Amino acid sequence: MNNEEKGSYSEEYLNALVDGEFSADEKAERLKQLHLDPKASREYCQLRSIKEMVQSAYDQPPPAHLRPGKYRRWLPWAMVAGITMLAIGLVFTLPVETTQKGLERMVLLNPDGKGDRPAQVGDEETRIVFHVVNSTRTEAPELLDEIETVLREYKRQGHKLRVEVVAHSAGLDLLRKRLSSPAIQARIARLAHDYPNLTFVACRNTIDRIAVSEGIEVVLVPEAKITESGVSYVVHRQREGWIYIRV
Amino acid sequence: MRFFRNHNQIQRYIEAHRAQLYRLAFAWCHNEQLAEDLVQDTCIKALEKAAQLKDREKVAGWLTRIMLNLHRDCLRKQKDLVDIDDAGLADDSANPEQVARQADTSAWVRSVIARLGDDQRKVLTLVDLGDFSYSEVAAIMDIPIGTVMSRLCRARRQLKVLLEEEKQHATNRTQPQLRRIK
Repeated sequence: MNNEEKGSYSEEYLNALVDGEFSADEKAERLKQLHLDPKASREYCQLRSIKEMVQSAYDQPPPAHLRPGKYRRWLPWAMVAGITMLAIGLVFTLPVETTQKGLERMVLLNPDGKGDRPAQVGDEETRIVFHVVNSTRTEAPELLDEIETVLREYKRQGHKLRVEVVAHSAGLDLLRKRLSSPAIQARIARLAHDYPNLTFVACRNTIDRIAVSEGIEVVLVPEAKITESGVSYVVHRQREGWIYIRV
Repeated sequence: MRFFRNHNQIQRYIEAHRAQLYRLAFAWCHNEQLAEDLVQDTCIKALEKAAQLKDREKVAGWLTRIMLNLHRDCLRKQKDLVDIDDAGLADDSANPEQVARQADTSAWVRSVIARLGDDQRKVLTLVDLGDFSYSEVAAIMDIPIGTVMSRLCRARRQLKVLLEEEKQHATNRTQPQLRRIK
């Protein structure tokens, strides 16, 4: 793994760097060297992004449905405990379920026409994450219109709402000072001020990638918070039951 | 020296690793029921072989190795198994189900990982999900560390290509097609 001294970096070396095969001090020193090589730096960012995507994809795998007869040799007392808990649970939760069924539900659809989560159930907080992945240089006003309409409507009705706008890949343009128009920047500032339940989030991986490929410092609007990986962040939100809208 | 003092202690250790084992098993099978069966069989086997384990620090690797061997046996029993480790992609056409699943980012990435060769997928998941070092993966899979590194390189390279392809497919589907009319 001495490739770095020759100015070229092997895939094995970059993978080892991503996978923590070096001590923290060693890694910091090697990363410093790596940033001198834009191509290798870009590859490193891509590998790190792939690793995070893999980790997020299996963060919470779908649970298996237990089959009878398979578990007799494994914790048999669990069956007795399970049946007891189920009986207790049924007694206490049935009235609540019946009440909830009577509630009028509205379902939000995503761009693919899918949507199985209620937009509002009783007094529960509605949580929506807008995942901005495409450049919004022309559509930003419409996007902010949509977001403001949702925020205003929920506020008017007194319903609890949390909205996050996660900018990733080309979608980062929305939060970049150089690419977002002064009017859009002013509107983002106003929205963030008027609605404390609205958050703008930028992807660190994308920022690093742009910084390396374009050789510039990426400057964001002051309202933007930064997360390490936009993809991981959005996947976490989906897992937590947030309504996901891809822009 | 035997590490486990009694049966309950073994069970507690295995139970502590169960979620992690299921995550790995699911990443290998991409089927909830198969993954659960694999974990269950691993637990049973581990109980039977508990006397073999000497080092507390190596419980995770030991359990994973048992599960990996069980999965290999399972794959061997499948008559229609084709080793595609070096054969590249199994199928690069997107069927309607795959298209629909892309709405969920995790399912989309999982569908791409499912198309990797079994050996590549195992190395990738052991490193990324199991959080094992390269030397630990080498010990679990009983292969040289150089092979671990090369398989990991190929897995991520393929993954990158597949993700780009899927992204391109998705873009093509959402963009209106232009056609020249004479």
